[in-house]
Amino acid sequence: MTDTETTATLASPGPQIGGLRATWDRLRRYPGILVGGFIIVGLVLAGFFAPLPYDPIEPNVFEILQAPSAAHWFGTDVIGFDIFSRTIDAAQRDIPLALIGALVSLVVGVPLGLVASAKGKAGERIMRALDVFQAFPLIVLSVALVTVTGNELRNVVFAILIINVPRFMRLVRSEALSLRESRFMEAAEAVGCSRTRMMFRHMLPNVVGITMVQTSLATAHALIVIASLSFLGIGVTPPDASWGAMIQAGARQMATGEWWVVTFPGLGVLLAVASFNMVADSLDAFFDRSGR
Amino acid sequence: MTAQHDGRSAATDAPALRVAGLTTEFVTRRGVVHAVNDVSFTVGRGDIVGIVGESGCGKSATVRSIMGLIRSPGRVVGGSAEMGDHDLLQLSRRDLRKIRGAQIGFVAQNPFGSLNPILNIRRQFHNVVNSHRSASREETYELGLSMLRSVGIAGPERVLDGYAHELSGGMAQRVVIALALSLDPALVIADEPTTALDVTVQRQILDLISGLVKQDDRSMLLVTHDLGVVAQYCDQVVVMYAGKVVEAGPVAEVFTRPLMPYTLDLLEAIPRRGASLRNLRGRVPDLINYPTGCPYKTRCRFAFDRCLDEVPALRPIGDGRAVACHLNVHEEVPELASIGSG
Amino acid sequence: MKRFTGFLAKRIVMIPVSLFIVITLSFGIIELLPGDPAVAILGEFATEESLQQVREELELDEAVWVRYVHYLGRVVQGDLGTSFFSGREITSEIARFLPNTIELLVVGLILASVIGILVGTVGAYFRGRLPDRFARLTITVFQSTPPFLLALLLIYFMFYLWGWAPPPVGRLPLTETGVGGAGGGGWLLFSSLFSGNWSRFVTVLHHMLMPAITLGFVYAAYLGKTTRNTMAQALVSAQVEFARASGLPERKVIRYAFLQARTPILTYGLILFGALVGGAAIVEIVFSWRGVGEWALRAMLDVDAPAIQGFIIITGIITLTVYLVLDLIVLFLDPRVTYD
Repeated sequence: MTDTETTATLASPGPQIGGLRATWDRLRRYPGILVGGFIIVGLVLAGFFAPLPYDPIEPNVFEILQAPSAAHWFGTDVIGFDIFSRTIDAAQRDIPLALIGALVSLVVGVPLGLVASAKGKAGERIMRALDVFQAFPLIVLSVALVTVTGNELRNVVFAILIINVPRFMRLVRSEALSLRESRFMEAAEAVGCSRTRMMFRHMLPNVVGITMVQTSLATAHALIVIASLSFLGIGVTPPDASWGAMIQAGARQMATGEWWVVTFPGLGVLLAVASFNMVADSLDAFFDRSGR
Repeated sequence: MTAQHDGRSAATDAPALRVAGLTTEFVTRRGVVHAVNDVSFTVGRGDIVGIVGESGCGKSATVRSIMGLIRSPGRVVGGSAEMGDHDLLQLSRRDLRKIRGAQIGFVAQNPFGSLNPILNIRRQFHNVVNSHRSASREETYELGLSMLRSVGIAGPERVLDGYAHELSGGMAQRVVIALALSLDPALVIADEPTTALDVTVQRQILDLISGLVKQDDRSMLLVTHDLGVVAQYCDQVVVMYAGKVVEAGPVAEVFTRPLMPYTLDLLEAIPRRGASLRNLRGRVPDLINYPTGCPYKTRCRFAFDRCLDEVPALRPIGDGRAVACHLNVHEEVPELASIGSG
Repeated sequence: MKRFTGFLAKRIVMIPVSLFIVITLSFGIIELLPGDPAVAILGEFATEESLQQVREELELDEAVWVRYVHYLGRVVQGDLGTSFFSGREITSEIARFLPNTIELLVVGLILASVIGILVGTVGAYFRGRLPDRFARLTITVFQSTPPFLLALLLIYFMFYLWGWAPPPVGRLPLTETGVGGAGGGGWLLFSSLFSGNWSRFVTVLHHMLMPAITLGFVYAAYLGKTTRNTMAQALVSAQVEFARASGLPERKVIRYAFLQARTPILTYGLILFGALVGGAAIVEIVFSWRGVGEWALRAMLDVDAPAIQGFIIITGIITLTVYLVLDLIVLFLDPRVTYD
């Protein structure tokens, strides 16, 4: 009677790699991936190619702090920048930077996580060191890091790295440990699957899913880190537009009622971060890790 | 030992539980899982009825449907489960809650899963009793003591003040049984009560629970995948396959003269001395794309063209037996007919 | 009781060792910083003479291990040095800024726990149904909001538009602290609470309204997510099913599930507390809160070595304390736990 039970568990819990057509059909049932992806791509494309009504780095000193109007859709800030132009323009700086930060974190974090998942004391020690490291407030650490390496946009990637690499390490380690113990790996080995076949046919689909989810989450988080740092004046060189710096530029006006200076770049961050979070959420369901 | 029969299951009494047309499904992203399909059976007063089948055949979902324990995304879509004057499936959640624990005692597979690890045993007795009637702490303590004694626990005081993790598996399951019986339910539903336990204590627990059921004239629905357990402890048996009842009847009859090839295959899969072990071929059907015809057709060695697209209905065939199979057993299949003598 | 004494004895032995590691770390990190500390203090246009004088004061000509031993000796005596910039003692700086942060975090995280646990439990209980979708949407929105953005929006609505909150000028009205807010810090909330000075308590709490809501909402999202996941698991556990099968009312069933889920939630909340000492820096800046995070950021930007060292040590002590308290609470809450 137990014979059928074994057969059932032999099947890999990961999704089967099917045809393009089948993938698309499955994808359509998870609108979050498409909607989120659409917003992100739209924002980036607009940032690079959309014709802007005003030069984003050329202020008009005669039109400062104007409320949203037909001339200035999102209003102007205290220096006379057109907020609409800058909000769109910032997308070409903030989103690619966040993506690069997340991808570099992935490239660095996954091998480190695999190293940390090695059996024995070494792995445990690495994780212990990681605990100590993560106890330190990361925003303070990332500010320190960018200060030391030089106040440039690309050094913000370091800040994203120190925040996201530990997350990738933990994730990869726990997944690798549980996969190694899992019954289907044992079964695959018992049936005589070769190691490479096992890696590609069984482990990869599992790992690809969680890595994509985590990369999407990491990008969302990187966007907040970038915004936080540029809010503190770290990373961006002044006339260039960045959502965080724009929010900082309007911070004082929130107490005096000129809400638009903060709100529109704020919506920019919110939209971008929420899109990545939404994609992560739907991808999680798509790869069906909870088995529902 | 064969199944016992006594006067208490006589037809003059209303049955303890009468399930008819029970259908339960789970809505998932991949589609609707048809877990329980038109299940009907009766638990006679004082009877122990075994539900057997492979994992995933819907036996657990069946008892959970009866108790109203199916949670979203699952739902009971049809049927009735009559207990006394009530149809359990029609009761409001409030009324059903009052019946659970008080009139139906539930014993689950893993005692450590069932018991609350954070609260001491005494508190758990108190909470269960107080869910049905107000009782003081002293009162529930006394009740706990006597219940623990009745399930054969020596030193119940110490157990009551302790926690689940301090108990052995067998002891913990005794505590669960004591909790389940603490409000004197007429019906006990036990879902694989010994599967998670050591082989050495499985028998003790089954002896205990069946003894307590018989002694106080309760009825029991015993879910198991072990035909040996059914043979030893049950009066009636319900064989389930792919969410359906495929054969039902008195244990002595069904096990000596199985009428459904699936029952036969199950019986032959029991390891026996002197007989070559025979495994079941194939796997259980997909419950989302439910097969047409007989669900067992792909694994059945006697399947013929009628099985492919015509669903066999569960039909009564006398002697309190019922079977869902197109075979006109005794004439067409000598192997089936001969198993009774072997 | 024996579980507690045994655990405490073991832990108390470990504390000096952990502290020693933290102090060594704080020394090592500063050693690794690039640049000449004397230049950092005096600026680029200082004379070679004055630079040399500062170098001697800082023992920069000594060997590393000599400075390390001296440093250890000073720290053990509770002397963390003086700030290169403000010239104040680091210990008195910490005593000034830390209470502001701790009081804000206590109030903010209590708020976050209440909202997060509520939203997470509703989501878990109605998993996959409408209330769950609503809970998940709320969680996603607040997780996607940078804290400083929420802070600024609160200033617009609660201060400018509706006038519910006082201006974001720090812990007390400007009339009390003076412009620049030099005064006004310390255990304002706890001292007024315990001395029963209600009008003072209300004033302090009122000024805490916006920053506490900021932290409360943002971290409610994180706690809500954790709660939803752990509660969802607990609610489908065999234990909850048995409770239900025993006829326990739903209210009690949810409580049983929560008993199971509370340890991970609590762990997450307390670790969050530890991380936010310093991690709430930007919110502190927005509300002129004068907290440790704000102070630490400034120290980092100024490369103020003694302040950075002081911050590392205080972070270490707080982290150690948080984990100790966490272990003690878990030991108290869960009879299964032993630390053997």
